[in-house]
Amino acid sequence: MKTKNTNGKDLITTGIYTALYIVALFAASVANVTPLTFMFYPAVASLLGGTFFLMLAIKVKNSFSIIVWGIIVGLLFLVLGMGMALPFFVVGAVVGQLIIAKSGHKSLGMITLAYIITSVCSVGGYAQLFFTTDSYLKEASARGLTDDFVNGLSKYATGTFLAVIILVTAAAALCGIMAGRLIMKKHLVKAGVI
Amino acid sequence: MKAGGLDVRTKLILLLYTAIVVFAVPKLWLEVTMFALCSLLHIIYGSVRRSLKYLVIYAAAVAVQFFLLPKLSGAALMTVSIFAVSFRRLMPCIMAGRLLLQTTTASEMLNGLQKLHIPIEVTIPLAVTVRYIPAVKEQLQHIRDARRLRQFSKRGGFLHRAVRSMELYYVPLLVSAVQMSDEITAAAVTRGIEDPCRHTSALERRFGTADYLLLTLLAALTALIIFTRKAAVA
Repeated sequence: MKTKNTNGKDLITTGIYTALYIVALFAASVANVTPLTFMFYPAVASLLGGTFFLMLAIKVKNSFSIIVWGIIVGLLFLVLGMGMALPFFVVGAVVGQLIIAKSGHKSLGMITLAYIITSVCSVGGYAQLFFTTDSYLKEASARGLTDDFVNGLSKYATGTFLAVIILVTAAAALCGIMAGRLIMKKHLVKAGVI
Repeated sequence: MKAGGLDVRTKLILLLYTAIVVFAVPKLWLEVTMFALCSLLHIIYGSVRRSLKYLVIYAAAVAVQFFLLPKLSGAALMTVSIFAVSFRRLMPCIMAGRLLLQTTTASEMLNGLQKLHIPIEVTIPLAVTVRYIPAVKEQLQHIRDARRLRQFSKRGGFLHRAVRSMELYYVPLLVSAVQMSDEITAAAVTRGIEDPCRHTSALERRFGTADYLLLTLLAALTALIIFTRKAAVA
């Protein structure tokens, strides 16, 4: 009953690694407690999620799974109040998918590149803070965030800091993939699960 | 579920609406309205106790914001305000999400999404994700227990421990993920997931009175938001 269009295994595997990635995101959300670490949430998230992205990219060899992953995770961002992250994340995922599909799902370098691009895109969730700083901060205090938190945020709303965040996120994404690579080499390849 | 059960599409709209409105329009009354609406729906669906639990947490958070926060300062203020304000804002979304997850079966959800003409390449991973997250949480608990039994946690510096515990969590998770994906695939293929035809469902849902009622309510709320905005500007 195989058709060329639908491969059930791919779809289900995508779902499972997306679920694991989302759990990693939840684990990373401890970062949201102070204004400074709040800004590095994408970095922490991409560090913890790298392994699952790597597994997804290696295990599912088709031309849409990364995009689907991006859509689902982006929707989660939307539901959790970071709606701005959705379009950025989906665009990042599409670019990542193109890179990975072009390299034939084999090149670790290309997978790493794709993941770094997607992770950096997730920083786009803070676009409001950097480009419409005033209205964002006004909104934040209208929501009832305390002045301290808002002042803390406003201190970080500079171009230099944006660059720092992007660099740190990229580095964290790289580390995330490296960690995944190490885990795979040490345990999974030997056990024959890959 | 008989009459009174909402269509999946209505629940999805409710979830998206809550998420967008609560964060895009930072007004307390709106948040409270959405919260009240969601708890009412939970009660209608029969989970009175959960609804009460949410209500207590929510009321506590609002009380903390108005009475405790002005008296705090520094780090305590920061931490408390995160829980009282940021988490409270999430609560209507969490409730709408739980309503969707707990009152909808996977096949109902797939059927509803199919009616919205969302391609199967998105709906099936979405359904699997939604169902697999609770399983991951359970696995994490088991891993934690096993770790405690073997006392893995207390050696080396912070970095060493962090890396080690990442390894200890990830390896079992990945191994079981690989296994589970084989098992679920076998089950799903048996049920005809790879069939290219339009999938049918024994339980065909249509929009009912309850759906239209809720959607009208949301539309009215939107109108109210726009009206108050205009009034505030003028």
